[in-house]
Amino acid sequence: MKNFSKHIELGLYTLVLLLSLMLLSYIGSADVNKGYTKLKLSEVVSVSKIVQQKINTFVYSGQRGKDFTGFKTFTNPVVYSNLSVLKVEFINNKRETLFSNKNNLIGIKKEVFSLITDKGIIPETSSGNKITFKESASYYKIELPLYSKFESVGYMTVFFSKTAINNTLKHEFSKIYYAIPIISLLYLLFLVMTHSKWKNNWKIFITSSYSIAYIALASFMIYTLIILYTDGIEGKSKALTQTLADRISLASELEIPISSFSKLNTLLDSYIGKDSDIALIELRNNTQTLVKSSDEFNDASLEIKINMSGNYEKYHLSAHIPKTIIYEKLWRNTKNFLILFIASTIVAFMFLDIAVIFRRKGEVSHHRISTEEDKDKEEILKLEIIKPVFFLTIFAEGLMLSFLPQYLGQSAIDSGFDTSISSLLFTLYFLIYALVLIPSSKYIERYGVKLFLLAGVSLYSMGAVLLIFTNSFYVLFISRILAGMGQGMVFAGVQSYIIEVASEKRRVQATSIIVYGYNAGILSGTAIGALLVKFLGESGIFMIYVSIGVFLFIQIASLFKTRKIKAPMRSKRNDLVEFMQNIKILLSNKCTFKGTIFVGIPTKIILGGGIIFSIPLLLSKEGYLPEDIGQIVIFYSIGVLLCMPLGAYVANRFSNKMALIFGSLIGIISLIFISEYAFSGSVAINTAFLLFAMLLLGIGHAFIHAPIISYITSCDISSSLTKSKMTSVYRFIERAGHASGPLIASQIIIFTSQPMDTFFVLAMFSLVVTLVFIIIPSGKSGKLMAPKMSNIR
Amino acid sequence: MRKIILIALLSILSLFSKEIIDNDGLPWIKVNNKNMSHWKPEIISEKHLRLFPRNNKKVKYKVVAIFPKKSSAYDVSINKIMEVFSQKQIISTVDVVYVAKKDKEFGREFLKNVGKNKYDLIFSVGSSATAFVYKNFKGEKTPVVSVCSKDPVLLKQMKNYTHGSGNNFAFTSLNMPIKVQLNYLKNLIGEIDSIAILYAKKNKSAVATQVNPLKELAKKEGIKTLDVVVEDQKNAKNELMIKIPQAIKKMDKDKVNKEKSFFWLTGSSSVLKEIETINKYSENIAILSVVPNAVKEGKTSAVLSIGISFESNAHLASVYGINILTKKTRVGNMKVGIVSPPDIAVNFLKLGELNMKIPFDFFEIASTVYDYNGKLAKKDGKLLK
Repeated sequence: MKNFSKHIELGLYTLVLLLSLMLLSYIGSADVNKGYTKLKLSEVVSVSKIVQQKINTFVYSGQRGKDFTGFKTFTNPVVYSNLSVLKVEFINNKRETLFSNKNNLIGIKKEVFSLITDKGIIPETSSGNKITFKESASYYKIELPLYSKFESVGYMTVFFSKTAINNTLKHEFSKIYYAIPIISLLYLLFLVMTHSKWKNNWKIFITSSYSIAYIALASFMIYTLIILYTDGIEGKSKALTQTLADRISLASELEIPISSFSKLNTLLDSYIGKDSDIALIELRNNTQTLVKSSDEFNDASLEIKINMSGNYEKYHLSAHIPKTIIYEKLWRNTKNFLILFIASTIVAFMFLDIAVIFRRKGEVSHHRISTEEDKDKEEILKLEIIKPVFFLTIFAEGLMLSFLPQYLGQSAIDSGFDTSISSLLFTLYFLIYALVLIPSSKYIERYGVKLFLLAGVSLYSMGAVLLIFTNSFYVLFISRILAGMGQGMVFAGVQSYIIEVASEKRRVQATSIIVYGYNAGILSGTAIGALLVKFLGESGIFMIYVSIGVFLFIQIASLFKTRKIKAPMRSKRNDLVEFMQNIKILLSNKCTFKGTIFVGIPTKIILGGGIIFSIPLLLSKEGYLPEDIGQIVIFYSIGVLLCMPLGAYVANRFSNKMALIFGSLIGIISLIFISEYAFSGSVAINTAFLLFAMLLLGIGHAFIHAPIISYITSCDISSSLTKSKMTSVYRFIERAGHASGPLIASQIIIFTSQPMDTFFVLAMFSLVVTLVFIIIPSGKSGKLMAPKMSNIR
Repeated sequence: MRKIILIALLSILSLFSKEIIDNDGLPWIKVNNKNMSHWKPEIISEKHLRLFPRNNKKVKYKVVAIFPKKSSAYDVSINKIMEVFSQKQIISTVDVVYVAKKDKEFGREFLKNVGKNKYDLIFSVGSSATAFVYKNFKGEKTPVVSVCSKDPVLLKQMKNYTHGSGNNFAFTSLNMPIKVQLNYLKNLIGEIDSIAILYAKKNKSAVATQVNPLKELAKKEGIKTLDVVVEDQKNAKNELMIKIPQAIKKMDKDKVNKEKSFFWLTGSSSVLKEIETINKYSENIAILSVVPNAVKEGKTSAVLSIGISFESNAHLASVYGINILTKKTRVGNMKVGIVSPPDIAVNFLKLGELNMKIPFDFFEIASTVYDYNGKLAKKDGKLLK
């Protein structure tokens, strides 16, 4: 029987790994689908533009659309530029097909086309080109206008198969799909062979082998992505060079030697520039370079060689793509995946944490709790049980973040409102969320955390259920109220739970659950949600949201045991009065006052005003793309996540105050770095420095976010304020910083001449408050209030 | 008397056969065979030919073209208009009316009745017809589009190239703006040292629209110009035999760089006819022309021409006409129609002889290319090999 449960446990770990690897591969394939499609479309567009110019030139030179000859010859470079191109047509303004050049291997079905909605896959084209991108269920269609000397004569349309792209990706990804069960089996084999040796080191065995298996698949996947993206990047230059070769070959067809032409370098130069990655093109015969593009280029490059047969002599074209451009494009394409990789890694390890709970629970329930070690184990279990609850709650909300503003806006329009009304729903959500915090601690004491959490999860799940069935603005209104209530209740419940459960030595570490859950949940939820919405649609995301709610409901119902406390209920009016009194108590104590005013609120001002508000605004002015800005902001969260354990360690090993001062100082330095990020002439170096500064700011705040709660709750308040209430009150006040951050930052932006100086002002502000925090004495440090009777076993 | 007999004969003919297969009966116009398969001609009078579309669809528009004289250029123009109308399925009758220089009264009378005859559009074919219609019909209701006519700005019919006429006229131009033309030439030659301009003194429109503007601009840009003028058009050959060597002598005297100089053939037909003589006496100085027809097969040819062909101009005028008929644009808002890029013709045999090179994009946009053997290799943009 023991062996049987052992096998179940090992099977569970393997199943969790299998799920994680499947999630990683699904996310990877979805991301590469987007990136690779964009590269392939970009390749076809570049070649099509050259062919479009060539056709225009011939139509200019006298050929009428109807009599146009050589369409097939002209468009062969497009049709054969890559296997996904099915057909190129010349259609007139009445939408009649005049000429067609088909790839005969694949037939084309009749389908209805509409403009491509996912702008992320549309390649950048110069604004004057008037290229239209359309799609149907199976195809993409690119339309390029054609002009004669006199007027518009129609379009060149290129049909591009989605299936062919999917097949290429399937082919490359099939190796990954084979690798998933193999890695999972190897992992199982390892667990079976080693489990007898685990003893007290069981977590190291499980986690390290899980990590190795996960990293193995991730490395294989990154390798596959690099192969695919390199193919896409090179493919464009190859196709462009081929079109150039075809143009020059025209002279050979008329038996006119290359030496008859001047300014061939101008022709070659036209292949270097905005739409091309090529830095140098040479036209060579067997012995020497006949002509080359004008710009000097001697850096490391990848050479593409295309042979041309002339009637007089043999030529070849050799195009050079700088390796730096290849690396830069590889980075640009793979960095999206890296963020998604971090997001899915967070989820994967959360899966493992959930699986591990069962082992811990077994360990605890098998023994009578008598020794300190047993108590310790029980405490760890209790904290691990709450971790997924908070993370998954935030994760679920994060899934919707990327599309919710547009979704709400569209719903407002559909229901006959102005789109600006959608911002009201955001305010409403945050307002409800904050208001729920006021009476929460009393209700938790009255009914217990379990009921409170179950109610919270149920409310936000119900809100999401409503979204599945309708997008009526009125229903969305109710849904957002339910979500705000539910999310606020879970936050309050988790916070009370942690404070009640965690012992003094694990206080900071326990508070980190909230910091980690919030940052990791938002980071992974937003990244995964933004990707999945394109494949599953909004209702698919709402279904995932509900599924998470159902899962958490079951988990809370089955793993939590509560004991209700029959405390008398007071009226709502008393709640508010009591809450206001609590605020007064908190702010009249020197220790809590200086922690709140000089560390807590300033940190939130920097987070809300500096990171969330100013960075996107100011970086877009500096020319950064929205996707890049999103990724830069994520580095803050990565910093917080990476250094949270270190922050907890410093707070435990030395003191909370030490951690707060250290974190504030790192924050000041990083804010100065952000303000001076553009110190060099190189955009790449500046961006790298900015990423580093953002990461550093996250690291600094990792020393503040969790230790500040511990600091506040360890202050000696000579009243009947419990730690749970203190935390609730502090969290409420702290929100003032969050809310005022954007207002303060916007005023600073107005008064600073250089946009990035805003961060220097914030750094100076932070320096002043940190110094005040250091100088002002904390008052008498007293013993901590004993925790109220825990209502959690 | 001859006129009466002719009219009588034609009337009898039209009674017996509504459909005349050939319009040889009217000496001032020639409709080509290709158009004859799409259009049915009916001779209304000796000065008036009507062409019906053969597709039996209900006629929607009535268009009239005014011819001032017999000219192959005008034939090219009217045939092009008919071709474009057929292609674009514009169901219209096209009347062609012959208004000779000496017959202005008939012309004025005809214009007076344009409204009564319910014409929707007039094409004035040729600079003199355009001048005549402009003088007698400006400000009327029926729109007019000029075809095969020289630059209306230089001829003071339009104020500029950037605005419409504001009246019932829309102009097209056979001339490229001289600045654009000179830029093309600079692209070909590099820094130009000297231009010897060949023209007939009596071809006033060529002097006004091609010679004088070029001289003015060349002076501004520090380029020397020489006049090689044919005084008597009938004696062009003999005059050129003397005047071309004299021009070369002058170039030698002025120490001009001959590789950076060229003979520039304007659109004077008496000069263009003498391309063989010009070739013979031009030594190793390039002959370039504004007229595409100056570039021919073999050695008796200009090296290259950059200009606007009658065909291209007529095509653009047709598009202008159709846009007016279909109410896509208002006639008074239409800017001067100039075909761009220009028609380029090149003879690689001549290029080779002079050891010249041409920019690759000239070769790509050239409508007509003669290869290294002087044989036609590309015509109307189509490769013949």
